Amino acid sequence: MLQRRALHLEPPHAAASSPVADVLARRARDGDAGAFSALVEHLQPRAVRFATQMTGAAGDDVDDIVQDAWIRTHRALPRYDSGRAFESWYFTILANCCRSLRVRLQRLHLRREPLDDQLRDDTLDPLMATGTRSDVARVHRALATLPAAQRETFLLHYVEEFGYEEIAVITGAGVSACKMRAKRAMDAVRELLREDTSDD
Amino acid sequence: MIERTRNADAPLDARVHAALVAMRTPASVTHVAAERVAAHAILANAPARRATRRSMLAAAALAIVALSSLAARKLTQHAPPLAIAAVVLPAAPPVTAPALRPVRATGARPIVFELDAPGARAVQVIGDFNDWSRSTSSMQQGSDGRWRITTLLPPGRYVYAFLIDGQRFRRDPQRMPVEDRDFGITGSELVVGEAP
Repeated sequence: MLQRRALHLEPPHAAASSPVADVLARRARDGDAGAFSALVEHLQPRAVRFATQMTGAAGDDVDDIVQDAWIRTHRALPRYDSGRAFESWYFTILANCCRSLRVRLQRLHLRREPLDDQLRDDTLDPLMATGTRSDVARVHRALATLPAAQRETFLLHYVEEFGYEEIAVITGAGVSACKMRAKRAMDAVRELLREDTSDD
Repeated sequence: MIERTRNADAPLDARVHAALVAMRTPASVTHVAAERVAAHAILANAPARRATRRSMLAAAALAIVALSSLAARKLTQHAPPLAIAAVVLPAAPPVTAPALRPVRATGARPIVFELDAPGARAVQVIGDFNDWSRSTSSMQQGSDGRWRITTLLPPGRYVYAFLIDGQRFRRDPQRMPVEDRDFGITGSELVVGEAP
């Protein structure tokens, strides 16, 4: 039973938002450029991580997506409602930028290679155990086969550690739909890992 | 039976758990890189607004051409009263796209927004392409009484609406009402470029 609890796959924190970001956002909204820089530095590692895993882009492409999201965030900052967690507000914009990139690419008929081909090895920690490294690649491969909405929900919940209520606000979907999307995505991930293991 | 299944899944759960922990490792971003991103965002917005104002001047010139073209096609003569439309001109003239967004835009196209609003003193088109700003996209009233503005937009999906006399918010009834996710405003959908 203890082992089961330890292996529970739900993220450790129900909500990913931090009061630090909220305070910095309020100051930035009031015109403090230093606070905006601090806000970027605070969230940039997560923003790059999410954009990379969501779109399969890398290098300059990821930088473009995240930069676009920050420019839009800065423009909209005067309208930021401090009653809302800034991180979920920012991820709403970031997720929209990721979606826009995919729509734009589809419109231009530039189909991307599968996500797992895009996620280069150098994006992973070189000290990571080989087995885990392979499993991360398998998870990315499973996510690449999923509808974008499921992949987005999976990443927001299991990687970015947002609660379902926050994901519902970010994605515009209902809480039940978000739970279902996360479950289906997790089922697909588990299935691929199970199949890959049996193939070895 | 259930317990046996759970035990069988435990190693798999452990692997998923380890992979998720690895995926949660934040990307490596230096202080200097973050400073650069923040500075670019701050600087990009001021020029973007100036560019939008400049684009309005270019839009005025384009509007004259567009109106001539529209008059030749008698589009305005057959427009129903109170009809609201965003007209996409078929061919893009060789003009530089305004720096509305730092995206890799290709083939910006002139878009004519039209509104029949009898009695209106001022009309603006507002949308996510100008951050729902009331001050950047004022429409001009033509001799036929209709309000128009031409602006260049890169291919993409946009949400827009009209603001009459600075107070009345009007969506385009001929187009799908959609929500701009960034700003939480419901407007009308406009897709520029080829359908996917």
